[in-house]
Amino acid sequence: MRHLIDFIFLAILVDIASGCPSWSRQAFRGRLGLVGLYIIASLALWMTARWLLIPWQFDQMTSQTYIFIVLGMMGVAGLAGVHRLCADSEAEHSPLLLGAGVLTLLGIPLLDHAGRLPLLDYLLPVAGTGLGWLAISYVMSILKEELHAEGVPRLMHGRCGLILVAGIFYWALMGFFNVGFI
Amino acid sequence: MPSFPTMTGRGPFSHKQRSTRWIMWQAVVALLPIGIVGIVFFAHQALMVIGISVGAAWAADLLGRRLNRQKTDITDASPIVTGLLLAYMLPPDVPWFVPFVGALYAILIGKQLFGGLGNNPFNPVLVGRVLLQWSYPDWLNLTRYPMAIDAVSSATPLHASTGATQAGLVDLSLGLHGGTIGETSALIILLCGLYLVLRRVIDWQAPFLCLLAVFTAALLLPAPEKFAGHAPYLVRNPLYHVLSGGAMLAAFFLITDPVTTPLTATGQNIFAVGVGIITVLIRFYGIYPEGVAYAVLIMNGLTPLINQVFRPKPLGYAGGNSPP
Repeated sequence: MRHLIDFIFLAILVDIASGCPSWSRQAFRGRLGLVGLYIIASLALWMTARWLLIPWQFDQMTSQTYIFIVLGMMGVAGLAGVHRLCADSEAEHSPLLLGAGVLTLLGIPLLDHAGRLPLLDYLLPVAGTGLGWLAISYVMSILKEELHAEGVPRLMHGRCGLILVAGIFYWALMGFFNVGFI
Repeated sequence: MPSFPTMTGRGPFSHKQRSTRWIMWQAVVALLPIGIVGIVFFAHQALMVIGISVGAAWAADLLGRRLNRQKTDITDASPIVTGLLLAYMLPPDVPWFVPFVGALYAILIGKQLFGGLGNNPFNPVLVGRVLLQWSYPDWLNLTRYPMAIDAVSSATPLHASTGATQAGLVDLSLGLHGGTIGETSALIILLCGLYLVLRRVIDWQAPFLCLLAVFTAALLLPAPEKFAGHAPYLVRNPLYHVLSGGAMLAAFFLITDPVTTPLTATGQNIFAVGVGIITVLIRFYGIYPEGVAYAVLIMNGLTPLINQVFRPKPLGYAGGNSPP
């Protein structure tokens, strides 16, 4: 669980670095689409590892396979126009870049378990990580608005303030999730 | 038609014709007896920790104001409150640099970096405490039995995995058990909190609901295995969880912070219940014996969300997409 929180916040940092758009219905749909893609990519990775790599004893190729799968999923997403869902009128970044970064970062912590764990045991933390990112990015988008209050130094209005807030939030959540029940 | 003055200044705002300065000095008055009891229990070491913490917080606040190009106000009691609360959450045996660094963390990172009082999204005391926990975990886990002449270390009753010793409920109330400087005596914290309630500095609902949530969660949640072997007295003993650790101090002095808690009464109550439940979850299933600091910080992060959900509707507003 601790590692999943680590990677959720790595994804949040990617989110902040790319602009952390304000929350809107369109942004929500885009982010939900990214979580869906991430889950499908993880499923594809699990199946590939389970039915191809492990039986053929090509375990060491898992990392490269994963990267190819992620890139392939992003290509499919791009062709299918899913990236348009990620577009936000206030965002200045490329949503495709955000998606690629988030998907890659979120996928890494479970890489070693692909194909080895039962499917449900693998997919539950995958979905938890995706939904955790969605929830925390929503909270961060609201906290972002708080940083624009009168009196907050200009330095803290942008990425700098959000990174500090994300850091404090991360430490707080680590205190909670550094636990033994998962 | 009478005209009403419009205020556009910075928070925290009070609806009771009381200034922030008055509120902060009342908090100092309420906190002082807890410190005196701490000094009686832990002698000069507690005095040193309190002095360094308050002094460093006060100096850091002056420095932060200067860096933020704000007016210097040496009568502002908010850094004193921060310094006192931080010291009360520290063990008495820590070296001098721990309260010093903690106060700098709290004031400079937790408060002044965000623009000073009224702008900080997280409680500065807890930012300092949690950063200290990550910086000096070995020092922060030290606790001492009150009035131990030869400074014998003793785990708090909540520290189940390191040989905690059971304290009776009377001992917990009076503070005759291991703990930090200001968290040991539940009775004195209760009296000081009641002072703030009677002076109408804080409302009684949020502290009450927070402690009720701790009680209920400790009663209903299944006890973890870690209690069974080391501290069976923590199982199905909800009053123990209310009286030990930092629950009482948090209920009266941390979750009533006007800056980092929700604006509406409903929001504040939800905040308080959330803190109580998360505290017990961490105590039961986490690796830390105490979780109140993390619980308050998590709920601080959710405060803007609670404010959005429980935003008060303007008079006459009947719904729809845009208020009149």
